[in-house]
Amino acid sequence: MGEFLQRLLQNYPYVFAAILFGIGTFTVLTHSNLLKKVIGINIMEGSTYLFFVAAGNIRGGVAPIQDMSDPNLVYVNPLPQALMLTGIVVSVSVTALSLALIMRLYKLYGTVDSREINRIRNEVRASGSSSKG
Amino acid sequence: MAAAVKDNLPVLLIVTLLSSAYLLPILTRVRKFRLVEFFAVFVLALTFTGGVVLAYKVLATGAFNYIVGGWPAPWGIELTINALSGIFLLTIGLVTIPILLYASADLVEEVGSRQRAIWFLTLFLLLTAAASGLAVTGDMFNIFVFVEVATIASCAIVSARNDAASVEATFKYLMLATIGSGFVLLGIGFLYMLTGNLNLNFINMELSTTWHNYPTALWMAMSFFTVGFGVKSALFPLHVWLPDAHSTAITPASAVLSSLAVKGYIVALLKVFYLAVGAKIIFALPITNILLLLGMIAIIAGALFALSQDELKRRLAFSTVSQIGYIFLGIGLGTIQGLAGGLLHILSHGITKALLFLAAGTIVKRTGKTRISHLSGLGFEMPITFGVFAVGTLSMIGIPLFSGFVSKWQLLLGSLEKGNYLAVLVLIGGSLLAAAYLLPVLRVAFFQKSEEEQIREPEAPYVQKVAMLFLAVVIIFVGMFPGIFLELARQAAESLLGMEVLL
Repeated sequence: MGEFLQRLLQNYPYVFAAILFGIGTFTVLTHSNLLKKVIGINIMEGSTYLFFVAAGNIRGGVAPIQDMSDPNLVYVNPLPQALMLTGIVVSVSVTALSLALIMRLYKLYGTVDSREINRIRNEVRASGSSSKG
Repeated sequence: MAAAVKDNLPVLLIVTLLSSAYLLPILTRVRKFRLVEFFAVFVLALTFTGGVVLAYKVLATGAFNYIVGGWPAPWGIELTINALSGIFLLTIGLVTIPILLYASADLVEEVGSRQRAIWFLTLFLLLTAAASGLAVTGDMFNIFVFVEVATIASCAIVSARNDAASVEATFKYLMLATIGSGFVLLGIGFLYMLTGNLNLNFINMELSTTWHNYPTALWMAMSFFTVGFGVKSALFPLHVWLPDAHSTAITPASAVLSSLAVKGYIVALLKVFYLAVGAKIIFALPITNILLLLGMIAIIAGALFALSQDELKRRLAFSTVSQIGYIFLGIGLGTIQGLAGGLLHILSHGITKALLFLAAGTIVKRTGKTRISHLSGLGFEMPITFGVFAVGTLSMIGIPLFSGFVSKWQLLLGSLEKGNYLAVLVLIGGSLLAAAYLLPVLRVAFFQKSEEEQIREPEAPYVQKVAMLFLAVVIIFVGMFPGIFLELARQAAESLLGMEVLL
């Protein structure tokens, strides 16, 4: 047990990544406020960046710019960081698209709460069918 | 010139589609909108030709790798073209060309303005580009990028009409699909940490010798991939977004989403499972059994949900959930026969569901009736539309001489070979349920007299009829001459599972 805790402490970035991923997913799935859902998505994606960058990190390493004068330098792995740049681009576009959709929904319903939207839609549907019948 | 094109065909497919997708918004100023649409169809036809050439090459000489930009594999990006790519490229071409032809007849009217119509075309080409990319890619991170392009394009295409229902469905779809992306990305991160590679072949080489050291991490990575791609491809308990998204989108969008978009993620999942991790390790983990179980539940539950819907497009959307189950059942069987059946079902469900959605869209648009029980007596008013709907129905049930029969027959043989009689029962039950939820549409339309006075409803425009008839002909062609498609599916299954599974 002690060894397990020690390993957890040593690998604390991954522990934080897992916690953040859980928080993000939980927020998306449980909050009815659409904006909070988008924030949740961003927390979740942030946790994956942390995970990747931690995977490529070496303690005491420097940025991977070659320095001939010091042969003992340790460089961190640049590949996960490059990948996460792409990941950030993707999450920015997802956020932009979802915010645009929220704006549209706000114009249509006057609220950004998904429960309210459901209620309004059901009322409209009920009144529509009763007027037909 | 011709040789250069032929040598670089795999990357040219994606480049052509992507660049023409971004060229389209510039063409707003073109006076004749038909020219823009014609250009988009032309691009699709061009890439379809490329896909056919690639599929033929794979059949003749086997799978090959293409090195992008002259940087060899561990540093550069590699494309892997195998029979799986071949069969998916064929599906893409056969499905997208008729759908876009169909869309071109009344696109501006459907989405509201010419600007929006052009955006729709851009998204359509982007979706096709991402699907083609998933078909040919051989690199883990490339898979992620194409998955994201496909996700964003398919979400945006749902809200093409910009009305309340479709915007809501898009938001729901986007949120769940993004959670799926998060899982996929974590899975990629795990595999990268375990192997230090992103190239599928290199991951495979690395894992085949060292996987015994960390089975738990591998197990977690596989579950992340299964959940992530499962959400995106609407595997049964994770399908909640699909019915809303697919039934509220405009007709060509629902057709392309149901027949193509969800399949791209299955192709990606297969690539991760069998090209990167390898059949031996996958079978050592119980993951295929889980997929088999979920597939069986999906077939029955999707069909039951479909049965309970009265709205035509919703019924078709739930039918997609059920049919996706067939593909996962094929993957879950884990035999060459079963996987070949599943892969063939990607093609046959693609063309069938595209045809059904196009026909349903025509019915809804021409008559204004969205509910099946209101369709009485329309069959003889719109003979071509209901005729092709009948072809789609028969193919979906799996009647011989139609494409659905070929793939379901393969799946049935695969389950019998495996000795899995529960799967046999589920397959037959799924077909019977498909008959139960699709045949009533025809019964109501042809054999029920309408109480209202008969007004002759106008048939669809010429182009739309041609598009639907083309798909119907393809369905019957695949059903009657399945030889080359079967060969391709078999070869794909063999190359994915490898020879050791045969023993």
